[in-house]
Amino acid sequence: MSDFIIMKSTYSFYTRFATLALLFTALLQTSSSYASDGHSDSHGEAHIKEYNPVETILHHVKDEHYWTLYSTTDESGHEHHYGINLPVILYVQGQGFEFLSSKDFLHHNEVKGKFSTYVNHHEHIASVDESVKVLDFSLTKNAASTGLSVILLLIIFSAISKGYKKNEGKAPSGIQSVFEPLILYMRDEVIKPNLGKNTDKFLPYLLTLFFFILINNLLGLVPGGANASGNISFTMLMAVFTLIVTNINGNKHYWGHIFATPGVPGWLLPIMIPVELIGIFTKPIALMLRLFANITGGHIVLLSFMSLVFILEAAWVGGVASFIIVPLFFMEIFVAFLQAYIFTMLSALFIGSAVSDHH
Amino acid sequence: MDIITPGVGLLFWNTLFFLVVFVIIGMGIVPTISKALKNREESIDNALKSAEQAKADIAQLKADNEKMKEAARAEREEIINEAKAKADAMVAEATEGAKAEAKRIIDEARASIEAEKRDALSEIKGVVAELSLDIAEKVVRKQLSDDAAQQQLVKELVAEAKI
Repeated sequence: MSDFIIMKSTYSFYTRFATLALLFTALLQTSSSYASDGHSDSHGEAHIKEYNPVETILHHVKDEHYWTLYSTTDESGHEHHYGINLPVILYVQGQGFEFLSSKDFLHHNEVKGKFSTYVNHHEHIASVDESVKVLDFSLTKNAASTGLSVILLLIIFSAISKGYKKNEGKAPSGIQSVFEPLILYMRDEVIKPNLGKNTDKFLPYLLTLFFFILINNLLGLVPGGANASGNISFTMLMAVFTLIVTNINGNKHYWGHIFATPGVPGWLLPIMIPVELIGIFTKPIALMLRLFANITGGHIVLLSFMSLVFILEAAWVGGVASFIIVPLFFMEIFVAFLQAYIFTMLSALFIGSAVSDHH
Repeated sequence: MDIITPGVGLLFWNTLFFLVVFVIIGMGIVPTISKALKNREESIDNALKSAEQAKADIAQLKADNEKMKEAARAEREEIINEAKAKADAMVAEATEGAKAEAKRIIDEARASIEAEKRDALSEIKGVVAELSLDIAEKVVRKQLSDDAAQQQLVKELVAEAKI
């Protein structure tokens, strides 16, 4: 009987998941426009581009406007890109917003908009006319991946929330029982020891932070996925949020520690105050760099081992490299959890020390 | 170097996405979950406590039962003892009564025997007197000559007649 209920709840969960997948397949468009540069010279000949691992890896790690899932080069040297066509949103200073399609920017094509003509140079979209300043608000691959994570989180958490309403006072079931240990662990082992009686006040922020980072870390490991949480913009934002939450809630002990460090003689304060002020920012910066370096580093390591096949130009290397890549992949899944955990734990620690009554 | 340069577009989108998640999940769903978890923990705690209480109650009940049993046993003992004592007393009383009755009957019997004896004696005395008279008559008829011998005889007869 209970098995049936779990099956039913997972079934409805997967139904929603499948609907979502369908939606994305509809967005997925193949783009096989012809390359306009260089390659047309070698028309008719088999064109093999020299493999550059650094360029390939950095391309995978960095953000892009068109969500490339895979690319091929045909016999005539034409590049074909297959993936998700994402919108390019540009704010032209003094003029307004431009809405364009990232598919048009492939192959370094120049795209004519309402106000100017734009070109994508190494994933940096600018106007051909240098005097026109352009701010890029495009829903890029990373942004789309984070957006997808938001939808996933909403589906998962609405299912969990429904579970808590349905099984009130009873044992958890279905997806709820998968997430409950995580929530309980974060609350009891990470957040409560640092925040004590303030746990309930900061639980919403810290749990959001944990699951937001976790799901983005995991989405980054899905083949074809983006490196969303390994992007400096992402990690910087999370660190800035922690910085804001910490300093808004800092009590008189926290500020007293910064501007009149206890036990420090008065003549040392001109040195101590700047040091403490820098200390406010070094903690979030460490958070930012730790998450960025760990996730990006993990991606680079995995891609490096995969690149061995192409560097050595032998298929059997792939078989050998798999013995390294597969364990590394499992380690990366562990790192995804670990980094989300560490980020949340340190945030809880910083907030906890800012709101605690005594030092 | 653009790998460590934050982009304005990504900052915008990620801020938006994080705030959406924070408002809907953090402020909407997390407190519900937190409350539900707390309620469940409380109810489990209460259930454990009441189980503990029930256990203690049962132990108390058992002790009480044992005490009551003990008391009942003591009371039974007491009742039995009392009954025994009563029975003994009754038997003793009855024996005493019987003895008294027997004594009374015997005394009565004795008294009546005494009376009968006295009656019989007085009757015998009467008979003896009559006999004596008869004898005297006979003696008188037979030996009127010898006065001394007669008197001797009477004296002997009377002595003999004394019982």
